[in-house]
Amino acid sequence: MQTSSSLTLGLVVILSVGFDFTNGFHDSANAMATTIATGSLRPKVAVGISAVANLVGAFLSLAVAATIAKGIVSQDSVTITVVFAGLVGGIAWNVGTWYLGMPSSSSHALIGGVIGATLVHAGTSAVLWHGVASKVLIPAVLAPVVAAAVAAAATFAAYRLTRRASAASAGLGFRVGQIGTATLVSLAHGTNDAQKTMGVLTLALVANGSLAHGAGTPTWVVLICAVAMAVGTYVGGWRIIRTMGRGLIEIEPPQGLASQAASAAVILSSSHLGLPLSTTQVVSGSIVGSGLGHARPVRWRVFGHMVVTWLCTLPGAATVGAAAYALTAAIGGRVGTSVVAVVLGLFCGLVFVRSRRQPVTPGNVNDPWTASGGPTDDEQLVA
Amino acid sequence: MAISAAATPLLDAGAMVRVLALSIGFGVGGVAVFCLGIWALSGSGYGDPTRATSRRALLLVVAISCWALTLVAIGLGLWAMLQKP
Repeated sequence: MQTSSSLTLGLVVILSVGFDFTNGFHDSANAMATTIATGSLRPKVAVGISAVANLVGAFLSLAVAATIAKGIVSQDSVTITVVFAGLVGGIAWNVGTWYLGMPSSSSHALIGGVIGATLVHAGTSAVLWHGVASKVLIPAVLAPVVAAAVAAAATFAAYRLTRRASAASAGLGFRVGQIGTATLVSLAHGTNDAQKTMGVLTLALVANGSLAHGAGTPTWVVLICAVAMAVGTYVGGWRIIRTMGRGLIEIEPPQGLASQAASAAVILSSSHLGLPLSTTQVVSGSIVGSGLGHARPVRWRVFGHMVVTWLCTLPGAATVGAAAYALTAAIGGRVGTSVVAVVLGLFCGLVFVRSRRQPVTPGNVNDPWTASGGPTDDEQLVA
Repeated sequence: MAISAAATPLLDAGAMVRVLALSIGFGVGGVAVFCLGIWALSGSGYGDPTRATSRRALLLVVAISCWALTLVAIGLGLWAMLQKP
């Protein structure tokens, strides 16, 4: 029994690191997509800066109030196996949406995974539906709307104020501004998202009895979570970076600056006031807003696909989390957790192999947008 | 517990309004101030020795002030983030 618990804890540690890695490469698009799309930074330099900012951000604030799913599932129902299955759901969703090039909230995926596992483990009464609505569903609707409004106003101001500026000054200014604001978004991401996984690991250690109740986050947990997210960011989720940077609008430097500044302002404000807005949804909304602010056409079809992905994130990850928990419990013991971990590994491997058929790399991430992802058949822009 | 949870509103409207106000202030205001700096630098003819010195100096001061203000705003934003509840 003790060996089984230790194995599950070991797998939770590995999966937490894996989740942070997927979180990093999934969300690197948030900060750097527009900076790469406008050519302000070379792709690898951009993700390098983002990785460093994420690493620094993870160490900036260690007040781990970000215990995952707090207020969303009854904390008494959270066992180490629930955390394990929740992580499986979160990773599977992140990898699947990365393959499709669709940005989605990593936090919502992890929360969905935990909800699904909790539903199988303890039933519907263990899920705090009021918390699900107020912390996930309503913010998911509000985030893109608020961000789009702020970005549209910022874009309008940027074009109006610099219309008489020389091309050289404007070019240099927007480049510097984009690098600054993108770094700020990366920093905010590091402080928020790395902490969530630190919270998961701390929770698992407490549940396993390896850490006393109320104990602080061990330094090794902080270190591995920060490094995993930074490495994931540096590897770069090029498929999502391409969708965000090239798929929504044909972005220009003033729009890049305005959308990043709006994203940074909304993320920092909501974070300060305790309103949990998803970084991914804020950045996507900002990019659309920057298109509307300059009366530029927006590819609503691509945005529509994103919205559908956001709507499916919670139930999709919950389904995987529930299935992972059910399979673990049905087989039982060490074999159960090992089988689920192997299935997840096979799924990730399969997705990676399939992604190589049509790879998106730093070399082609800025190619013109096409409906199919191929080199022709440009999708129509709709104003 | 269930009763208190149900009594809590689904959305903290006050917090939402404050988020919107802060976002417009820092986001739109920040971009406007930063772009004013770009305009001032451009108008100063930075690197162009044929421009009148007094006008160049004035606009350069405006540009530097704008960017200093932007840095202060970023600093405030970071401070606010680290003070989150």
